[in-house]
Amino acid sequence: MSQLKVNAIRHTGASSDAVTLATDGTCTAKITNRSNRNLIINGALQCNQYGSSSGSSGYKTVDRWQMNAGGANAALTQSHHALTSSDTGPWEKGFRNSYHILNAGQSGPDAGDYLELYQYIEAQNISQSGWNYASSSSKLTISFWVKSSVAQKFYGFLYTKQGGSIQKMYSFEVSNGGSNLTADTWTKITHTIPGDSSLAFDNDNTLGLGVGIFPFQGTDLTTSGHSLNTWAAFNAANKLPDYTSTWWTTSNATFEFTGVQLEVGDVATDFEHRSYGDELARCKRYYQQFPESPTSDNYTPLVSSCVACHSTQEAYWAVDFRPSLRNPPSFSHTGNFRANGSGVSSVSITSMGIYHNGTSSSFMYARVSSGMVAGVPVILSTHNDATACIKFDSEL
Amino acid sequence: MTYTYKLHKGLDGVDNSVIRSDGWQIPFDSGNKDYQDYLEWVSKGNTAEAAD
Repeated sequence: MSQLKVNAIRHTGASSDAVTLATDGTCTAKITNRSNRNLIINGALQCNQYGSSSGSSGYKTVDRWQMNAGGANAALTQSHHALTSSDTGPWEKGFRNSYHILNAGQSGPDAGDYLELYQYIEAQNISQSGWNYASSSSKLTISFWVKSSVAQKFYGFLYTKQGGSIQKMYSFEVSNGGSNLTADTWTKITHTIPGDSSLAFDNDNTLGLGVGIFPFQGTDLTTSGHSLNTWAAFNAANKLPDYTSTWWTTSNATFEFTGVQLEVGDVATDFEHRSYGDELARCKRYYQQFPESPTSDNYTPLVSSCVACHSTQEAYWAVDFRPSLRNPPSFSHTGNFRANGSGVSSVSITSMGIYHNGTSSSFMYARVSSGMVAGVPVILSTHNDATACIKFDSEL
Repeated sequence: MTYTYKLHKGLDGVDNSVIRSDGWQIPFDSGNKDYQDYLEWVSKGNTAEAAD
């Protein structure tokens, strides 16, 4: 058997070794396509537990992504958008959805106007990512596909939070190699972000890093002399360079992105595609609803481990969260529900809530006007309502 | 959007959450973003309605 005896392997055009071999018989390899490298959840916008389309700010459509808008005087519609084979670029790379904004066209602009699209990452996911964030030679790289109906430059924006307070910010250009994005054309953006000695992250489940892609910022939030591509103390009046307002003021302007990946290292690797089930499980750490989506059966049982009538008007039940939520959740419900059991025949539920709250389960109650029987077990379900659901929100 | 809040008790009779005017029940937990918004609302001099 022949042996290849070398100390390192390096591409002829590279400035550093891809594989370094040690005298103890081991090696260190600079492998870029590792699994679980994307710090963004739902980067391909597969999951939309919240809904398909909404004219409101907040988490309303795609999981883990929220629209923050201020000052708008015309409709802004966020949606979970289906791509087609006409979406040249991301389509061939296996992306089938985007986070899509439709702007009816704002008047002005006013100085306080803004539209921000954010994903917030838990602090512990950054502190344990392997990014040596306090070193300028250690890098994060963000990459994504973006398309605007208006030819102009946009910006990306990151900020850090530690100890409950916003600390540092970082901005970068979303453009076509320094020029305006080409209208109605998908462009792949890649940008490498250095560490900085001033950065610090908690090792807990609170917000650590906000990752934003901004369609517009008014001049209350920008300056003409803003410095891109460097970490600086957070300054709400100097987040970005002054913004071109064409997209913001154009009727029916659209802005969308997909394939968002944030990874440790100075190389934008191919997007780490995950199955729908894998991605949904990650999203469920932050939001769960039951039933998961509208069903063809209008009497779908609600998830529960045990439901028993405590009186003629109230039942106690426990809901198990799988996986556990990030934090004890907020709770809401929408639509019609009922209770059924021995001697309890299709009794309409008038209200539900949480008595005691946790990350892996919550102690719930369901109330009716009358008709429950103390001690009798019941099944809680939707009540002739395909869209009724209960919702648990643990987002950042 | 401006909300109002109403306190909500656990089974032990102690206030442990608030019901926001849009129907969301929000736990008293510092890591909950909705609770952080509620605290900001309180810090502006507002007071939640007493629980039933």
